[in-house]
Amino acid sequence: MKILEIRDLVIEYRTMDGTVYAVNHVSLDIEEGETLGLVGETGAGKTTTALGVLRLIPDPPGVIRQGRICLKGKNVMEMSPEELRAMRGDEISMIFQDPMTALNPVLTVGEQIAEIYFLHNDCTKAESMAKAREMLEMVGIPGERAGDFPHQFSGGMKQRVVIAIALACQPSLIIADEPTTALDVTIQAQVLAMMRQLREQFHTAMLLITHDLGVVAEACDKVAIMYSGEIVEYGTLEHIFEHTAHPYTMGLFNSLPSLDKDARRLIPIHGLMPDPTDLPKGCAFHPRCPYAREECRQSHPAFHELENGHMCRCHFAGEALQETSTPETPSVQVAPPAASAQEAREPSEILLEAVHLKKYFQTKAGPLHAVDDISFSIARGRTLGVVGESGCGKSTLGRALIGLNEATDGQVLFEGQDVTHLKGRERRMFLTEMQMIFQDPFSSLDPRKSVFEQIAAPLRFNRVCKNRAELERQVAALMDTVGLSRRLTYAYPHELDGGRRQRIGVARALALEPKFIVCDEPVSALDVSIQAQVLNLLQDLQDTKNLTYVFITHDLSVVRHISDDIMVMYVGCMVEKCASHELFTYPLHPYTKGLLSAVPVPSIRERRERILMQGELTSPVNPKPGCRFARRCSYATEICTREQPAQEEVRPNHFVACHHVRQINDL
Amino acid sequence: MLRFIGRRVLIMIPVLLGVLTIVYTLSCFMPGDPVRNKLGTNNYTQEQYDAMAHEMGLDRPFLVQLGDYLWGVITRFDLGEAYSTNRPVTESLGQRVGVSLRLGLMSLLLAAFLGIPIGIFSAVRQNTVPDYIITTLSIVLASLPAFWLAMEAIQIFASKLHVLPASGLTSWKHYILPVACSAMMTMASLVRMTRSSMLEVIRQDYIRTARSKGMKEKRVIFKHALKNALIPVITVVGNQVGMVVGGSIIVETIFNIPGMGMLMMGAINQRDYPLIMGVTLVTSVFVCVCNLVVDLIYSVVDPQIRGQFTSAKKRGKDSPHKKEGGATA
Amino acid sequence: MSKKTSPAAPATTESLQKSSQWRDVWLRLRRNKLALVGMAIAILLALMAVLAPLIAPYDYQAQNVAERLQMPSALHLLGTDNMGRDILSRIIFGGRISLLVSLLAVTVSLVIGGLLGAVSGYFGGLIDAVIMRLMDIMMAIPGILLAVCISAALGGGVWQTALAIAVAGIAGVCRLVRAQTLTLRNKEYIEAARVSGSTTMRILLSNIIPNCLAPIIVNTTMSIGGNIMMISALSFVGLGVQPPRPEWGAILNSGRDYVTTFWPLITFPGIAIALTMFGFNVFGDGLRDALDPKLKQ
Repeated sequence: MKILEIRDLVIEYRTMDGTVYAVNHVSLDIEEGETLGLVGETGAGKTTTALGVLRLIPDPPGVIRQGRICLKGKNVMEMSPEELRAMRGDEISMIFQDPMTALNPVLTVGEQIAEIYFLHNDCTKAESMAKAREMLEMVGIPGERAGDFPHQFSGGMKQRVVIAIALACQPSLIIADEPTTALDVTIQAQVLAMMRQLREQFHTAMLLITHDLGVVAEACDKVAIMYSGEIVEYGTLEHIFEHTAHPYTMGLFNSLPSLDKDARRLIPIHGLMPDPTDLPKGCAFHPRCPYAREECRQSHPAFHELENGHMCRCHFAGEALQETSTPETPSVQVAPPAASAQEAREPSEILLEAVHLKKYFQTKAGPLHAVDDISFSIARGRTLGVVGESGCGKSTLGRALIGLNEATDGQVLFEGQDVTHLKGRERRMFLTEMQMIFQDPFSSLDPRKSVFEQIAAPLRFNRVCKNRAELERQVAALMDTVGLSRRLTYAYPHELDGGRRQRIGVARALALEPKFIVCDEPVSALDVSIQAQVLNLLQDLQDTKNLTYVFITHDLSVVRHISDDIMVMYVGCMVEKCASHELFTYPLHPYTKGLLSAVPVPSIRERRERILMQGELTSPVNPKPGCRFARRCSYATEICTREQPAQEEVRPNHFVACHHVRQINDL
Repeated sequence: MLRFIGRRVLIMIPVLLGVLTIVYTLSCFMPGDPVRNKLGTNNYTQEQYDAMAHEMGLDRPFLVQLGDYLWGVITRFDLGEAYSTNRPVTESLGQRVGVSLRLGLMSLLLAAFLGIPIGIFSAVRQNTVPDYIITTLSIVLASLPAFWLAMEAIQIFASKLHVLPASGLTSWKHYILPVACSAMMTMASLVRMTRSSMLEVIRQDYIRTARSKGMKEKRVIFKHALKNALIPVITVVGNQVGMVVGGSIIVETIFNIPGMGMLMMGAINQRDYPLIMGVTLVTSVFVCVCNLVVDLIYSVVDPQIRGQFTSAKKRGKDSPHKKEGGATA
Repeated sequence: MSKKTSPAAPATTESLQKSSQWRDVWLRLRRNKLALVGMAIAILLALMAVLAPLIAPYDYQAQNVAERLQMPSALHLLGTDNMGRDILSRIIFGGRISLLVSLLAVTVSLVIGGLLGAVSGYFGGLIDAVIMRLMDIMMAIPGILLAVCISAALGGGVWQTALAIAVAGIAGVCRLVRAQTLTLRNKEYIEAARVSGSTTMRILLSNIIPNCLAPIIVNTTMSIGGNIMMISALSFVGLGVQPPRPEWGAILNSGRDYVTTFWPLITFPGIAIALTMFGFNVFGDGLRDALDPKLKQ
């Protein structure tokens, strides 16, 4: 039975800058018990479509211009306000993206769950509270916590509460808007597994909105790829993953760093999604499409059916595509990298070394062990990837290296010189050798300074240039290096997109020609196609300038793509460190194994055996003696709770901190 | 809870001592000579003058005078003797404090209990005629100084219409004009504040969640939005206490109400330092107490704040892990 | 097939060569009619203050006992006061004093409060604790009482009054700037500046203060109005700027004996104060809306 049928839906926002064409002629179907993945980058119109189904588009400025939305054969567009309210929450419920803001901070979670049940069922307050507790248990939270407020839960737990709300009335359709994007990968795995199990139990249909093709492969039956408010490709999981037809979908796959293959150059989609107030004539994707021909510029392509149910909005759907142009790469003036960049870079002398580095913060509850006794060294020209979930101390480690957080104990040696406690002038002198690229391209740039001033700042502060003309020359050269058009010299950050902003961050870090750069999650705020552009840029720069990176990220496929060596952190401690390919083929620590298996793979052929890690990160405040991972580890024994495991070279250049590493891996 | 109040009261003590120090220091700069005022005549000898200065303790070093004064306040709640009347300051204050604080408190409550509901109403009816009227009126009323409003009120209601009395404080009718005048400005700004806070909250994600549950708009507003919207408004009420009380002290003088305002004006004219300090201390205590009450209300409304002190002992044992725990249970 | 041009940047970047953020602010402000009214009032007041001797119909001090307490007429547009002086002229010259004192006071409290707040928020720790306790004390005394005490201590006069008003305003500015600094301190661009080799002083001056600017500008605009009210409240109780200088509050005060008998002496100066407050309030409001949206992005 068809649960949801959308036909020709058009949604617009009327703003002062013109009409935003957010959703353009979208049609899709969801059958009973089926999951449809709605995939696209930021601004593609996914969330607007979802809100449209619930008739929750904020009006003004939003208007549903035309279209039919049928829920089990009833037209939602013709429902009265009472009917709509009866439908919302009972027939269709919604899981929102950010669990931090989706729950009301002043009501207990129990009240918030009970409320939806109370609204749609003829029951007493007490009965609905009982139901709330039952729902909490079902999503893995003890029922007695119903009286707690949202701020007393972690992000993953909040999302469980949101799911409990969505499921309370056993709706026939759940709309999940990026339900796991804000969560860590092991928590994401838990939540996805739970959603799958509950969905099977209740036989609920789902519209899953996501930008993550891995999540799609894992959770969906059908996929709709959205671009600029249109569905450009639509079909079963197999159609999309195995018989990819639309150039945009291909572009998405090509820009994904892979968890399995060794480093290869990513193929980003150039440019940006068009401004939704000013859509291009013809195919909306043509300005970015490597296969675009005259026809694409002139006429808007129809939705072609390729084989039963596989639809594609492209003039050349089904034909073998030929590249008509190589889109201009924002000119990175470097030679293409060697086929295997890793081998080209021979390990040489040690550039940076951390010796028993510790960083504690004082909190009211006691010392917070953000970085606890970490030692490693990096050779010149190499990249050390640091991975871990949020709160594991990886950012603090990067900041301790560069001196933004002065280490509590231990040493940082740079070219053999102790730079741990440099102050004032000495620190500033040293910073010409070592730089940092920050995580959030939206907050790492001063909103009141132009691109020129941002990039010129380090040159000015260190009096590199003798006069204004030289400064301008240098800045222009840097902008060329990172592929920023000189036209943008006097633009302000808010006028630029995330990718360009991050390029400014890179140019600023390069200005003083450092030898070493700490990259703190430089791509995690970017869409995949932009992420690929920035990753390529970083690699090219490393190759030409022999830079050394510490690359901090939570994204395992990115870290594999870019790193030579990888260090895995857990609650302030290093649990494993080895060469990149070895870590992914032969992980030894139980945490690493769980972490790797939790990553959803964007492929339908390969199904990985999943080790579901229970629980969440322990608190780094006043840690108890013993292995920090013991509480979540299935191999933990008595010694693990008593003694902290030492770092051990289990195989050549493969360090692990685990009491039982040899038994677990039969070494 | 009691511990929290206790701690807050303890924090008030150094603040109030600071207030006294500042005011005492200032009063020593005030022109005019209290000794001469006290002698009441220009016909005095240097000996008489010195004797009087000695008697009043004004011949000692400044810090000693200050220390002595503060010590007296702490140990005996002794605010000294008013120079002009030779009576203890506490006595003069005692007769006046009640009137002023009653007026101040009434104005504050009027402002809050009228301003906040009107603000909510206006936000809920955003972009309707009543909303436009309320927003326009509130921005105009927020620009009218209380002391001018008081004079205009006397002009209109007392001398033209003869419906309300213009001075004194003998019947309930006497309260209407002074209270309304000192409350008006704060009320208007509370209307504006509540309205914008409410509109801000309505844009939040959790309101969208509430709507997606299928509840009536009324319930969304009152169950989900209201409490959140009140949190910043309560802070503003706290900040406005001083303004209301200060304003009502000036308004008092216009209506010839025998409160601290008249006392203060008299004291300034006569350079009666102990009296000035007494008035300032009493109003500061009132402001501090109001702020304490505001903080308590705040903690009732905002569970995050409440969590900070109610669970201080409950958390103690399993403290930081409570946040993370649960999934493992 | 023709060669494609490189993907276009967001449409705006083409024309922005020199477009400054202040232009955007002005464009947004222009859409807000009420704010424009406020701005007009502020500008008119400033003009009136500068050109007072030219536009005032009479000498503000010229007494004429024969013409005392006259109702508004063609000769005296707003009537005359108890000493036969032209009320309109006194209001015009009074505005001069009010505006001057208010601007002085705003500047002083901005500099002192702003610096204390920035230092307090940026460095934190002991220095923060000390400054904030001091501000707690100042906040505990109702602003008008504090101004009354200081004004009584320093005596009348333009500078003394300005100082009295300024001190009463310091705590507010200090808290505002501190709160702003606290949120800014954790922004990555502050750290980026440090990593770029910027000194602490430079960060405070070139990154922190400009980014606190929006709320400070709003606060300052509104304070100008608020201060004018405070000044008149001071002269109303007989402190602050002293006669024979005309000041709105002082004119009101002189009308106290005629509350029931001669309304122009109360109504007109009151309207002047209210109109000024209104102007700066709506202008500040409009500025807040105009300064905010883009930066929040």
